[in-house]
Amino acid sequence: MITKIMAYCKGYVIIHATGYFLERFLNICTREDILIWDIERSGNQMRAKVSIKAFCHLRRAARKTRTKIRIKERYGLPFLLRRNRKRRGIIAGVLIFAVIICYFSTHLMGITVSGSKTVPREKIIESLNSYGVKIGTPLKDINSKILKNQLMTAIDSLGWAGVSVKGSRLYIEVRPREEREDALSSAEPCNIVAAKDGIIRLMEVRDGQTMVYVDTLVEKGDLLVSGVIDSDVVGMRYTHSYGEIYATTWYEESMDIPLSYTQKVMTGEKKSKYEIGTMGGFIKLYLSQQPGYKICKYRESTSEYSLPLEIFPSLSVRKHEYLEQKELKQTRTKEEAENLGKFYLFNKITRQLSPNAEIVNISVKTKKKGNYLTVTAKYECLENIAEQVPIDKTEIMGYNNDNSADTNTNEQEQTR
Amino acid sequence: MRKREQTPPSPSAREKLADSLDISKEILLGAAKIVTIGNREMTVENYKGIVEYTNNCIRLTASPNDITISGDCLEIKTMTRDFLYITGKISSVSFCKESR
Repeated sequence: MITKIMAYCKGYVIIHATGYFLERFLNICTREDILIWDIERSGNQMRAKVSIKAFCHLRRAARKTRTKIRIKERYGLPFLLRRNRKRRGIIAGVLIFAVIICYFSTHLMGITVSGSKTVPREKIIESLNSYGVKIGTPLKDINSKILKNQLMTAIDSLGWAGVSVKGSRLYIEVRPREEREDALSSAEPCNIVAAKDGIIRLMEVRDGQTMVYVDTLVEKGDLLVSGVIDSDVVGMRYTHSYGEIYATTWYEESMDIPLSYTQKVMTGEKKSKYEIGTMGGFIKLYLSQQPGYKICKYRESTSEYSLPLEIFPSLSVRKHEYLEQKELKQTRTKEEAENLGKFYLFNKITRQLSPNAEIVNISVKTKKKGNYLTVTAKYECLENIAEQVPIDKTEIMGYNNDNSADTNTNEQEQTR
Repeated sequence: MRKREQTPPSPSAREKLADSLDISKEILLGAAKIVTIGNREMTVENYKGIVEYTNNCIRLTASPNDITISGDCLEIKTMTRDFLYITGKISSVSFCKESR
């Protein structure tokens, strides 16, 4: 195969030799180091392949053996170039193609970001641009390791980033940082305070000094269980107080629901406008900027198409979609408005509740105010309101500067 | 009449030297080396010249004997000063008279 390619590049001719002493002709050729291959004999004729250079030396052997030689076909690159030398368009095309391929294979042609939906692609592309990495940047200027570190420092929400260059495309794989809750360690002394206002119903304190009683009203931030235990036997000691304190809590929310309103409804008609682009630039395939509808919903989507060969830039198609809408005047009854209000308020309040909260009672009040119906919902719940707060020891021990200054003056007074 | 037993020819001095020094004989003796792959391909090294070349027969001068290759559709694929590559349906290879 390689020899065939080499022969094609150098060029060769197929000759027809006619004579009675063809064996002698071949012997002379071999003795003069003339390379002949694919020799086929039929009668007093012979068909063979000879390289362009060797063909010039055939004349002597042919004359000696009285052999007639005729060129039947010419093959190879030199003949192809000679045949097409006047076709300047083709030559220019080949040259431009070579230049484009050269440019595409040495410059960045696309960036693929994968791995995370929480870290937006735009943010990554933006920070890449700020470090001088954009489409068209020479590939030799991109250092994957440095770029990876730069990305990690630039974007806080990144937990891990992998950067690799394949062909002319930059592949970035990211993983978001997983936020860890600041839970107190079991050894750290802490108090339990009320996370919400409420009346305490049940206390299950496993460690710590209880500071409140059942059926007492507490406000948010009130100390429920102290982590500082002072006893006559042991003295003052700190503990990691923990336990569950269930209290009745109340939530009240209200909202206005209109009884008559205008609703936008899709008519089913839509118009799409396209933009086509590559390497960051886009060409509009439409003339008019107007959507064509009075009221419409707008949607934009970009899809990317790339060839399996990674040296070519990907083709982007941006689609602007306008969905026609019409306004309909509608009314709802008092019951419908109340149910809608209940639904919205339920969603709103349950978002504020702690995970294991139990809804004990729901009371809903409605009041008509012109076109609106005001729905007020009051939820009574039973939930754990215990919140652990670390103890500031300096505050308790009285190590503040002001206090120490005061004690000094007292001592001085006593000495006098 | 009792038949006379044929004795193998005694090796020449060069052959003995090649045997004792473990040198390949085609180099030391200048003898032709024939390699066949099935009956489709054949290479001949150290040949001297072509005497006859037709579709059915290729006759070569070589040392120590001339070589006749017969078969069908014989074709010389590559030919250099001391190397010949023949394809076709080879039916027999025979060594003729002693080369001069």
